[in-house]
Amino acid sequence: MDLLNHLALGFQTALSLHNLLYCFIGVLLGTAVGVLPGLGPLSTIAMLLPMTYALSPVSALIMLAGIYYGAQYGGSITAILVNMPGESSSVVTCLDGYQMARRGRAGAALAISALGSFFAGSVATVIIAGFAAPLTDLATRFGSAEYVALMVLGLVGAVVLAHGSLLKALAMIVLGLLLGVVGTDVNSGTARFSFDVPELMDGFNFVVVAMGLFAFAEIIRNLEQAEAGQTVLQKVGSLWPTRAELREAFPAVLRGTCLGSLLGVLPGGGAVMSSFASYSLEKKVSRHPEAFGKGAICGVAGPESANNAGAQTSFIPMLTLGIPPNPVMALMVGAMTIHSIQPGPQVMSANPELFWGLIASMWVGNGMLLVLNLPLIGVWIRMLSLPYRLLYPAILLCCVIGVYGMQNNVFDVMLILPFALLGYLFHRLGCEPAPLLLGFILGPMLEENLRRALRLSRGDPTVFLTRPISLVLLLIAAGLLLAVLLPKVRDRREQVFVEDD
Amino acid sequence: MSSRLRGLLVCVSSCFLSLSAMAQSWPSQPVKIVVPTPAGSSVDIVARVIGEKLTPMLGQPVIVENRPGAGGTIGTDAVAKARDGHTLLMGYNGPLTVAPSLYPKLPYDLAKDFAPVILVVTQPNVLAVRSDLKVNNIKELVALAKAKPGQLDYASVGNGSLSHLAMEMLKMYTNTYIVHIPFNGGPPAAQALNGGEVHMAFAALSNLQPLVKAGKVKLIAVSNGRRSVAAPMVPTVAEQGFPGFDATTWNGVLVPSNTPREVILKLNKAIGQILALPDVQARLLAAGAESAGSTPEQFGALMKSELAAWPAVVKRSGAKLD
Repeated sequence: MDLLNHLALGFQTALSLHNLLYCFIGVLLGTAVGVLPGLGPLSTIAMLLPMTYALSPVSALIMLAGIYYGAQYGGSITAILVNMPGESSSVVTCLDGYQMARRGRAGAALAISALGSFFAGSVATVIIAGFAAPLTDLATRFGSAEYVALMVLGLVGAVVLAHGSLLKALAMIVLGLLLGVVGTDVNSGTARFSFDVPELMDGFNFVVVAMGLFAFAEIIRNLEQAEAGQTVLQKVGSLWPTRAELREAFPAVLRGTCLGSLLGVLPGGGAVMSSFASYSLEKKVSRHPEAFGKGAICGVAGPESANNAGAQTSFIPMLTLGIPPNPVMALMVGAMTIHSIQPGPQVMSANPELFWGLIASMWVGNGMLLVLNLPLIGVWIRMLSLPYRLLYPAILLCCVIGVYGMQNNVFDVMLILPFALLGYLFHRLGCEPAPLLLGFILGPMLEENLRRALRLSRGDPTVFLTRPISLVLLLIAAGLLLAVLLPKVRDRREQVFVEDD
Repeated sequence: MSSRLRGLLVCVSSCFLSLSAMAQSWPSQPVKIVVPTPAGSSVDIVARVIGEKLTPMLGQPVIVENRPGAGGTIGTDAVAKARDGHTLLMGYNGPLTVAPSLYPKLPYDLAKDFAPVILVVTQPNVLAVRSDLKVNNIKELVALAKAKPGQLDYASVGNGSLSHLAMEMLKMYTNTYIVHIPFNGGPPAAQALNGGEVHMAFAALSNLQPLVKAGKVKLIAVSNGRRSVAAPMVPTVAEQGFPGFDATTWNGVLVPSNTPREVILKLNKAIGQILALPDVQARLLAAGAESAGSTPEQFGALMKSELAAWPAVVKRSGAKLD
């Protein structure tokens, strides 16, 4: 009953005209910055922060939160339409979302990602309201050893991401791990493979790599094939998902929501991993794994739900512990302290209208995103019917502005070029860039935590097996590896591969 | 008066006139504050608070530009090489006074390329221990560390960061051995302390405050030379028997060294006035920073003393980066 009372208080706060307005501004801005690559929620919130001083703390937080989850949604629009992942979490959406768009199902992909995100957001709201405390406890138990086990599981799962040959997938993961090595090592502080270029001391920026491998490489590919004046879309097709598509997508949405809600609580890579993990899971459980990478609706529905659920449950450690799991949350903590609210466990009791108002506003905001975006789908689709000779320079320009805007650095813009060529080469060689990106994201985290765990255990490697969570995760990883390597399964894989050709 | 002397006088006075005329007309174009850390970092928040108030005072828009990367050296170098006369740096210890002892070659020289304007804020670094650790002050910590050499761990917010160097300095003063576990920033370090992975952490007060309120950790010392406004009950390390111990994180404004003295003074006066405003102080405090203020000379002297102090600590800690 307590929960209901709390939610009632929350909705009372969130549904005031004033807060509705700020929520709307937040999700609208969020969608816009999500659509524009490079300009992410982080820089937007940082720039808007001074303006929120004048607002009440509840309104300020509602608006900033709206920007954050609005951007998660906006990022998937460009991923689906033009293969341009603006955020790390939308890389996975590119895989099948863009393929759906190429087959004339862009409308269905956008709709399912909006509906899935709304569903996931609603569930995650209830989870934050009801299970914040036990989930915080789980997050607290995650030490370096547990992260190592989780990353190992993620990397084994990455093999499943690719739908080509196992060897190529492995090669791409390893290449991703190697690219992730570039830059300053957290443990020793030594710069690696930076060749005395100061810009390389922080490693490659994820957005640069993703833009090059996905958006730019795709443009080169299209220009090679398409006749002048041709459009991406051969046919527009129905704007709405069919009944069969919805039925197929629903279980994927459910699974993605569960996975995202759990992983989102973990500080650091949680929210990013959730979309990759969901994709791997969907492909594993699907009766038609061969359809993945060619426009499987589950490959859009699952990860989109997962990243939205993850984005929301990542508020949990911030709200309950006062420890921000990512830079965006760190800004939210700043916004709270500016209004003399000390984030931490006491927020729930000392400022109940803020805590519950924020949670209720997430649900309201997700509803707004749905209302805002479903009618816009038609507009987005029409953008695709532009002649490609007009569309691709616009995409390039957006990418370049976005990448420059991240750090105000021309070097990053130059770096897109080698990755674009690499991406094109991969395409010609039949290698897929998604496992590479996962290796690139997970590699540095794996290394950092592995070395930290061993340093904490004074070099004793059994630490990974004596801690229960770590042991369980490693066992799952071993099981998955076995399943991939078992001859029977391998035969099936190869069969799938043959079918692909 | 000889014509030569008169010529000299005219020359000097016209120089003087043009300089003061320049200070009057400065700024003639938008002023840029380069922040060498990412958007949303504490340095960035400080710069944005100051920049917002500076705009009406200077009569020109003041823009904050983030140039993060390479431990702050990229943005710092950009200001060292700026020649438009309208670029300021919101600098902090790392790239200015610590980096010279960490990196064998830096593209800029603090003494040659920069002129100090004003010390803007200081940030308290606090030493926090887990509440189940039976230690309430530095003395007890030293006793425990001596009883268990190499068995205690401390988290820092990064290799070569002030949080790392403050602890190394303490280890040097107390002749103890505590293992360094570097993290990537304050929040992960706080998380590790909360989860019980490490016994203690030197980090910004703002990162640790929530854990203190929740009773998970206790603060046993402040690394600054004087007590913090935000946590006045926590004694400094110096007070606890180590006079002279001072590892203060600060943010300050610097300009390229060719900037006219009048412009420096004008900026110093304006920012000094901003720092005295109660709402600015409150906003800075909320971001974990305590407004400072100084003359250009005081700020310069502070940096000079740090430049002299860090090499020994860095050398002993083995934190050299190359």
